[in-house]
Amino acid sequence: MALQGSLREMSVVDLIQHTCQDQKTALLTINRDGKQIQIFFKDGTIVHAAMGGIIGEKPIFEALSWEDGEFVLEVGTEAPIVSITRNWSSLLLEGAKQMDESSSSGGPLSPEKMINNTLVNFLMASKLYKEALVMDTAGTVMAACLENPPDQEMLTAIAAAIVNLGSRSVRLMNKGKFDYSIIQGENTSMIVMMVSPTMLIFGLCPGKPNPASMVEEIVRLSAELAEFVVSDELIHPA
Amino acid sequence: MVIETSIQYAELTDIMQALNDRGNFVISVLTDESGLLLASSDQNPDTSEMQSAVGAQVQGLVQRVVRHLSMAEPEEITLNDVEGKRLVCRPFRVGDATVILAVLIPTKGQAYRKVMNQAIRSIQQTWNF
Repeated sequence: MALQGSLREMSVVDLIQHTCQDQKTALLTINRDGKQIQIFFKDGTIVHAAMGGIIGEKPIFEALSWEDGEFVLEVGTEAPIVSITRNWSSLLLEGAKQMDESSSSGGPLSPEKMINNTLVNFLMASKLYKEALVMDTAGTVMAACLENPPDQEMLTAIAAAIVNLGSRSVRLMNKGKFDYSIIQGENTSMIVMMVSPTMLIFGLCPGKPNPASMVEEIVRLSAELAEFVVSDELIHPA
Repeated sequence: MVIETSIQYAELTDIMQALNDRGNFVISVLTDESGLLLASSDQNPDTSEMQSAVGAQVQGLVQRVVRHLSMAEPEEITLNDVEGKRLVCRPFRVGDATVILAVLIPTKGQAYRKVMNQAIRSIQQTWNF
């Protein structure tokens, strides 16, 4: 059974309150401007939320800032994982607090903007990397700083292929988890590093820097992105 | 001609075994671009075939990267797992062909470049023999 409608008729706060108070197990899917947020409920508790590769509480706070969009509430759908443990009323309070703070500081800062800011700051401080992007394993780009933006689609395809190959190869050889891959040529070097099982970084350096230095720098970026993923899924915990 | 080829393969196998011993690697293999196993340090055919297949997949990916990113031919590709194990693949030319030397390194921080460079030189000398 599914309930659907517009956020103009029923707000995200109302949807969460009703679902939790009715102690339902359900999936709330909200779509706006090509973005999708999924919120999973288990017996009236929010247990998981996802927006692309970003999971945990951040997608809830993003959803709370949406005033328009379409929603579908499917009762009976179970969450694939548990990424949220805070109770729903505390989440709503925190969301309201964040919206107050962002409106007084000039506008909401979505998780994607925060990831983009993290990436820009990293590239500005980096001695090696000139270009980078953060994406999920399904190929959705969360943030990209590229000299030639049309390359984005091709780079994400390459990154996805490297992760696919890396995961398969590592599994074949020792049943471990894929961490990162470096490809070095004379004029360019690239790294693909997993932040979590669903989020990855693709970095490009000119020339042929020391691989250990490439890893050292990108691990710092990976640690800074930690707040956007579930802590126990982090490949490089801080 | 047949005798020369068999001697060559035997020598390549010796080079792989020496490389593996000196580098303390799990396994060392030499394949052609399509993944055909040319020589291995491991006499277990399953292990060698599996690693050569991985090496060839890596090379296939590299060709795509080179084509799309206008990158020069990569000199080294590494795949790392979270425990620090690494697969290092080095494509290089012998005559008109490109071959791939791949080694599986068991521990993090373990040196491999020098012994791989030496092995590549030995392979090129053997090939040109």
